[in-house]
Amino acid sequence: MVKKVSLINMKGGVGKSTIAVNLAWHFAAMHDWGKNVLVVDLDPQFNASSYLLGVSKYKEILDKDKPTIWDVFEQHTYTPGKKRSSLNPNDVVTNVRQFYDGGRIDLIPSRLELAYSLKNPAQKELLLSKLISKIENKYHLILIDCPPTESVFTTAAYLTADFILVPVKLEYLSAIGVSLLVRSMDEFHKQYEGHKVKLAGLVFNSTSDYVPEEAESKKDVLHIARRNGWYVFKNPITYSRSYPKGAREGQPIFRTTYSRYSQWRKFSKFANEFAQRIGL
Amino acid sequence: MKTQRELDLLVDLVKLLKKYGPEPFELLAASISSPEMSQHLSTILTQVAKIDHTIPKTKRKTKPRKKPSVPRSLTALKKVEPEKYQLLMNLYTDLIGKTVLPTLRDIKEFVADCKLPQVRTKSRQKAVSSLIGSLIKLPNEQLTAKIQSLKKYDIGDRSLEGWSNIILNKQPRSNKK
Repeated sequence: MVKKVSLINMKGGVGKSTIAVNLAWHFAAMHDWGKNVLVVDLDPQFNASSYLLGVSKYKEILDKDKPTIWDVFEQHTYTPGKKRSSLNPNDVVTNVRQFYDGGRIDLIPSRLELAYSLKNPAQKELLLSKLISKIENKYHLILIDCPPTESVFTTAAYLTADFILVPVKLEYLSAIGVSLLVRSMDEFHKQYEGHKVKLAGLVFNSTSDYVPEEAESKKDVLHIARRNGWYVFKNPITYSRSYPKGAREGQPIFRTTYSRYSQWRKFSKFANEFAQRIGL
Repeated sequence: MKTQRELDLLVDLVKLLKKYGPEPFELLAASISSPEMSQHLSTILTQVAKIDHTIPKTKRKTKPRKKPSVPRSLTALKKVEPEKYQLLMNLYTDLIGKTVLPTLRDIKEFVADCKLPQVRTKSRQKAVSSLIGSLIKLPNEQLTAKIQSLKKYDIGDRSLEGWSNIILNKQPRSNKK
């Protein structure tokens, strides 16, 4: 059965897209997994799309006018003079990588224009879950990379996902982002009483263990997590220059040039703990 | 002083005298003057001249790089399985020309993705042969699919300029008129 996970934090720059892409690679490419993974890029900044596709492939999607996540949210928008055509869910999906005798990585790409959907968000929150329900049986794991602000996209992500994964950078402002997320989830559960989203956990990202400020923020976040009964992953994702380098090379941490074995082993440990938490 | 040659020797000797000082010169001159030593020196000089003569004076040329030979297992396919031979020969040409999987790392990644026997070498050429050797064992259908998948290994343009053009809705320079 497919596991659907939204990566959310109300603070930007905590590594949501990087973690989403690296998790996708881990579960699709690693010999002991070989899963079919779909990454849904729900952020108008399209970082996950940039990471996974590169300029040429992304441009090809735009040039050929292939549907993106924007079309999912705007499929019922009426434009005078234009004939309405129904959106085929399979057309929105782009294959990024296919592994033999194993998994694959697919992507629903995003685009800048998605931000315009925020101007008229009415009746749009269920569109993503409806689309995903039509294609989800093809996948073992669906990762939804969310934008860092509360909007119709966050609600759509809550309504689509079974689990929430919260990447946290151990900084003062990031700790505030966790409190904002607590509030966001509370409001969602009040509004959609029947829909329960489970929290897979909080994962500390880009940790180094040597900075006093980091230790202070860790204490704060652990306190918030404990008070709300939230799980904190035992395996943090440690700081490595190979992560941004991987984005440049379009590779996961375990394939980035000169990345240290120890670094991707650490990521691997987190990924396996994550899989255990969501029952993958 | 009789000849230019003797004059040149004298100049060299003066330079050496300046370099080593008079004392070692005097000691060496005494040694050389003994008939035994002069016989030894004469023998050594004759031998050196002989060796020098046998070494060709032309500059040492760098060995031209051998064009890698097609693996035997592949040439053996030509008559038995011409279709497979063609598929693999095209791939082999691309691999040698580095138009696909240009680095050893790329080959190793491809091998890992295809779950083929691991390539344990530091030489790209040997890795190419090993890869071809593994692919030969596959049925044509699987082989075709794997070769086709190589197209996806091109990571393409990931330049910041490219992204900037997309975001600012600009055409790449080459397309501008």
